[in-house]
Amino acid sequence: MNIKKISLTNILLFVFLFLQIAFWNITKEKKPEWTVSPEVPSARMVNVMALGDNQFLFRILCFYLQNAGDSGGRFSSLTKYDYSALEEWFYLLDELDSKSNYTAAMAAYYYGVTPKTEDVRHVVRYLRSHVDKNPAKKWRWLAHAAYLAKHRIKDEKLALEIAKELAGLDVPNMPLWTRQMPAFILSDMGDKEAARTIMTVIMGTTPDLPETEVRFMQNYIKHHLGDLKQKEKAK
Amino acid sequence: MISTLRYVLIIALRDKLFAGLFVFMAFALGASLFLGDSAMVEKYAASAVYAGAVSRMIIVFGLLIFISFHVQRLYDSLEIEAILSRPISRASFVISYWASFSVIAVLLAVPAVIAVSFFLPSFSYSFILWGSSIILESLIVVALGLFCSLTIRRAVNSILAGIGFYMLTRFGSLFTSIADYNISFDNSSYFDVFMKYAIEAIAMLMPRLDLFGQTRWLIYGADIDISLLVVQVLIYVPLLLTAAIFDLKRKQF
Repeated sequence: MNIKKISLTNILLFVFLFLQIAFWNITKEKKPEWTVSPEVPSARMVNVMALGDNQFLFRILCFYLQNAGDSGGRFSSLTKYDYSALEEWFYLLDELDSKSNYTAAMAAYYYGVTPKTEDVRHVVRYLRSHVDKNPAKKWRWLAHAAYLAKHRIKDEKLALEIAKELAGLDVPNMPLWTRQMPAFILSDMGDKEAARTIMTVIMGTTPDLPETEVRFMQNYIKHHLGDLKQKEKAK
Repeated sequence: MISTLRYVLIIALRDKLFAGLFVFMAFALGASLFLGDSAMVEKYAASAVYAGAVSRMIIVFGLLIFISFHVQRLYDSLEIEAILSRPISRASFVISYWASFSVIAVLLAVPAVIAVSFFLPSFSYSFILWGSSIILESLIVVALGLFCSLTIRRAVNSILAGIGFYMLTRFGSLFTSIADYNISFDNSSYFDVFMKYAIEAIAMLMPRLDLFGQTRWLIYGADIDISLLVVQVLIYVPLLLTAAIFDLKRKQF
């Protein structure tokens, strides 16, 4: 090999290539600092980010929040998330689009299954606020909030409060079970009498009650709430 | 006018503008489908919104880049001098170029809008409104691109100016809300008051492009009167073209 043919350019090319590899070797341990619960941007910042198209930003942020903590080749346990921050995110997403069910579904079905049951309170609080925006179309989320409160948090008082809120909504054409929900929870709490009263009131005041519903409620009273007359006799 | 259109179309085909942007759009729409499919719920809505927003961006940036490089080439090759040496007024030069670029814009926007329709469950009036607003917006973008490239000459600078201006126009609602923000004159500094009016002044001069092409129309229905957008185009396109003609008339060749 003729050494004269090795020009300065060739030498510099190899030197800088070597330096680049050396630089990579030094910096390879500097990994990006991924956060599990991303920081919530301010409302004004969101306005800037949206560039006038809030719906597009909403879908992008939903995707971002759905995958938060699971990016960059990691998978984070739901116990590691900051649910206070998540709750703020849910409200922020509702500001961008409160018609969509995306945020509520993500909160209820994904973040709501955390094993840290106290964190579920954030989800329940959000779902209740989400329903307030349009009860006629969102009442189902209140039922889910009641479910989370009763079966995940195991707070029957909270579940009853939510069930009463659901039953009290002035929304026509809600299924009958939404009115019966407080009775189911009261029955589980042991207050059979109150549950029976609710069922009896529903049967007595609901016009055009389908025969199947009447039978169901009679059956429920008989088998779950007990016969009151027999109980009084026993006393 | 027809010869300018023919010329611009030939250049667009030669530069593979249509092929390039449609391939890019195909990738973007594919990515939208993929991203939408990974959504927990409302998959079609997510895909449609991504596709709509991305197509809009591609059309806008594609047009700004194409127009800027085309006009730079006109300056560099002295074609602009040759054209203006003929008995053609500078105003008709600008208008014929705007009209020709607008045809290109429509030829780009219509297939893009049709492609977005495949992401929707049905063909609705709101979708037609959305598509129309994208076409209307592209007419303003063409005028903006032409104004920037004729005044700045160098393509890179005019692209940056065009993109910067376009971004500002998309902040229209933000500017309005900042300007509406109640400032207590007793407690605020002169700077706060100055900023409020400065932002109001900027907002006054900007077209409200944030009102165009809202992706929420694709899923929840359009809640805007299209005539409002038409009026904005009828005001802002002549404004930009007049500014471009004004600048061109002051230029010495």
